[in-house]
Amino acid sequence: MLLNLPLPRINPYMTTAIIDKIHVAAGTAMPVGGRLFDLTLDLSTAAPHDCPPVGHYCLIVRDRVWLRRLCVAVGDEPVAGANLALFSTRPDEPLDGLLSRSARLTVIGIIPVLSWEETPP
Amino acid sequence: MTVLPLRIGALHLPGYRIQHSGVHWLCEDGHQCRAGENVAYFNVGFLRTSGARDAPDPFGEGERELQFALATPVAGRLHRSLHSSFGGFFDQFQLFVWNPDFAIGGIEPESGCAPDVESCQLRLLMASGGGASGPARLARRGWRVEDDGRIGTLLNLGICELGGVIRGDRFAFEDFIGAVRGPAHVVHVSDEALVPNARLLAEQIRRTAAERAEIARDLAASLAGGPVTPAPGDWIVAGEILRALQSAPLATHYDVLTRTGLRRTGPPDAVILSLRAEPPVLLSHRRLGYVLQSHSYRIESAGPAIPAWLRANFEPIPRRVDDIRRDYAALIALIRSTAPECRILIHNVMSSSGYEDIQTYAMLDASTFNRTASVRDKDLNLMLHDLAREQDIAIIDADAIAADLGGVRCFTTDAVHQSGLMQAEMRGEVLRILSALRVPGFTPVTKSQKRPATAEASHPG
Repeated sequence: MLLNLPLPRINPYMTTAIIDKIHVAAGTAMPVGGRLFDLTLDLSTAAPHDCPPVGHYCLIVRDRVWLRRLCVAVGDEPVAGANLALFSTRPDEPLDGLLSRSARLTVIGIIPVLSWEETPP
Repeated sequence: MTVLPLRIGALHLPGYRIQHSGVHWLCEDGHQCRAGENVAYFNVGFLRTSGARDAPDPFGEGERELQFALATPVAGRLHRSLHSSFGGFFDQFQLFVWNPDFAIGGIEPESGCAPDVESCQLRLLMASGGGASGPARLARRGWRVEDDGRIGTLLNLGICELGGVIRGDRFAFEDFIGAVRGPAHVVHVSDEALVPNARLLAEQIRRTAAERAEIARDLAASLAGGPVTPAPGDWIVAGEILRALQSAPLATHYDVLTRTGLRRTGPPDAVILSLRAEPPVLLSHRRLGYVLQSHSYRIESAGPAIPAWLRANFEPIPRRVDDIRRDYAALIALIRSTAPECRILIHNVMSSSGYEDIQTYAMLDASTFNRTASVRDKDLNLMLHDLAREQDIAIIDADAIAADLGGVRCFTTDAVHQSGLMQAEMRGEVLRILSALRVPGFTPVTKSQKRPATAEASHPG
């Protein structure tokens, strides 16, 4: 069974999300509860003000799957609904079949790192 | 029809001549106003008439912008004077010498309300502010000038979630001060430069003059001699950070102008802190040891040199919830060592984001669980209850109030910046706590006190 992963609309004001971290590589088996992506939702264009609303989230899979293909890289900023990854429920399942459904996800808010700290000098 | 003049009344500051600008009206001619409603404001300045010309101003360097909000003493229909406002710089500069008989207009009292001319004097709320950056120019403190008796001072050291609660929609403290009997003096310290966490606040109090000088020398040398040429924004942010590092709002005394002259208040009778200001990681200066915390958006918007300075000179220190509890305990002990009666209120955190959908925490590994913001937020709130039992502090339970009002619907796009309804509820809660703790000056006004010059209130017989 093939599953995709559309970027969920976590916040009604979001249009995109920035991929901060990818926790697994293509070909990896993922348990239920496995971390997949860390994301930043920068809503400062939707709500421009001092102290801009920037949220940090992690996408967790709730299916036991194999990550077969990543459709984004760190730093990408996909739009809501864009496919982020392709999964299969068997490790060697051909990828040219029909999609069965979207992978089940949990979205959690995470404690951010200091953004400027990771900026190269 | 009786129209009573709305006079500004006597105001004295020995050694100074008081001047004001033309009037900025906040309502239209003919407006039916409430008793105590601020209907106008003007700028005010103080010119030294005796002593050295270079003697310090009665208000400090950071308080260049001084304004009086003008409130009607009674309810009624407002008549604006044609000689109150002239537009342009006449309404900006303080060109007019204070004349107690100057009337900004008149009021036609509501029927059944029979104030005399003397009791129809405007009520003055003074707000002072001023600073280099836009938000810092907003009012930093406010009080009514006519109140007699012991002045109670409330110091707000919360982050932006408390700014609107304390300063109100017009940033002049009018909602807050209008709700209490007084005399009340409210101070808001901006979190623009430094985010006021417990450890940083304690260091501000303990810092010696020699340590302040060394921090200034080090910052200047590091920025000017560093590998990255500072941009103008770097210098501005550095100046604001330095000013904040060298201040100690918790140990500060404040001058308050009353109708009869300056009076000194402080240290504060009550302090409000934000639990949201306690980060999971603090920065500590590698050589001098002091901690620093600024909002990321301020650092990112400064220029290239401030982030480079931080990376080169500071190291991150992780802070667990227990560390924060210890920092709070140390700060509270320090405050009460000089002000034993000082009341401490801490605004807890909204612990449910509304944008996550965790079905079960059991599936999360330890690393993910420990990084989950809502888990840490709930731990922080629980810690605050332990602290309240041990240290006699009050919790402003924003978490519960937001839940009662609909969770994320209380906020704009996040769990920090509230709606007007949420701010009003929070303001009411803060006032209720201050009253329960018997903080001087912060007793709520009663209905009859809101109409001080009505026939019933002025002539009870």
